[in-house]
Amino acid sequence: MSVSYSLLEQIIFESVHYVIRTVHSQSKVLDPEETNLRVKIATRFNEKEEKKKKEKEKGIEKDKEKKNENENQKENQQETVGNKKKDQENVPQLEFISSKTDIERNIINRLEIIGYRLGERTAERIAKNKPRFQEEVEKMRFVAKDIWTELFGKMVNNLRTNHQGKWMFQDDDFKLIRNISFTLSEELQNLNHQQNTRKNQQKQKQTTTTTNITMTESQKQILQSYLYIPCGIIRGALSAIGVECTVTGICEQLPACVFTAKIINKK
Amino acid sequence: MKIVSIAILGKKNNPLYVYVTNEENKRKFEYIIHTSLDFFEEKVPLISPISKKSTQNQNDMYLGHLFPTEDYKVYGYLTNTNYKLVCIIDDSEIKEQEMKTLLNNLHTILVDAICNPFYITDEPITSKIFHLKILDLIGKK
Repeated sequence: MSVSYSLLEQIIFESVHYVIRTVHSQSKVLDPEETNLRVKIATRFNEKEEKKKKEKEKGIEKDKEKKNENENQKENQQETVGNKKKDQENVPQLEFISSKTDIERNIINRLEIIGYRLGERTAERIAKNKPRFQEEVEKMRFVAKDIWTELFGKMVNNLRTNHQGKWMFQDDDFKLIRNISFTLSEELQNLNHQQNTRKNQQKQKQTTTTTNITMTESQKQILQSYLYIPCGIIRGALSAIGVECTVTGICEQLPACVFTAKIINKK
Repeated sequence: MKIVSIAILGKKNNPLYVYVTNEENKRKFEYIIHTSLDFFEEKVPLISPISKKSTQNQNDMYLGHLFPTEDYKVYGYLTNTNYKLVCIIDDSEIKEQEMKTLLNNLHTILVDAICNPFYITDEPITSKIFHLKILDLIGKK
């Protein structure tokens, strides 16, 4: 069953890819949705091929992982050196997590669309009482200040640009992920280690008030799923004002996250 | 003051809602609304940086040459989010303040309609309550 399904998918993807190539090769301007679709299909295709290769190597890797888990349990009592080794050993696990299935991509899309519609509608309500936006800077500031205060009760902490169509909204204490905690056993051991280092740090600096928790790659992957809605909110608000863009969100330390908006220039 | 027609146009200049008091002349007013689109584009770059929130471009399109029997005044209103509101009036005596408040109220009604979770953007607005609200708005004046 699984083999025939994957073949069918391949056929469908190839045909859709072909259609998009032929139909849109003549048009100069591509809708951002379609470009996203193309990218998605291309990445899905690549991931399918990678998956096949992995499935061949699966038997070998499973044995490797079991060995790694045993080693992890022994090494957790050590300090920084042990963590570094753990990250390296987590690399094969990462590849499994990052190759997303159909269902996951579907969910991500739906979350983003939820955020998009939310952003559009709040922007409509708030922009009603605002003066006309003359420049791009004003539009970005509108999102960073007005929409953020409306939805999250505070403004974005830092708004940066690279003057080439990329804008970064940095929120040092993002409300939606503020109270997330990880309860896997590995993570608890991680936290214990970090609390020890934090105590040492607190003796040195007594000024920091927010407790930033550094995370492993797997934690970041899990947290990524909470950032799709705010990405959609930013995209929706900007498109309501008239700025077409794609938004991605990254969370490096737990309450702080950065959303980057890349403006799509239609020529 | 007699309001003859009200129209709402979307970001891509697609008609989202057209209301005409006299159903017989609907095509004519649709045509007038369509021609008013050019005026929106004309007026926008002329706005000074210290202007009001949404421009009220007053198009005095006296259609003397097109329709020698009738005179109309067409008022436009461009929201921050690129929605265009058009109001066609049959009379010649109107205070600008009245028109401003009318279009402002129209804007609030529009925002309420857009916030409907079942409403898909860039689709015609088919909500009955929206229609009733607009009838109320027109009926008052």
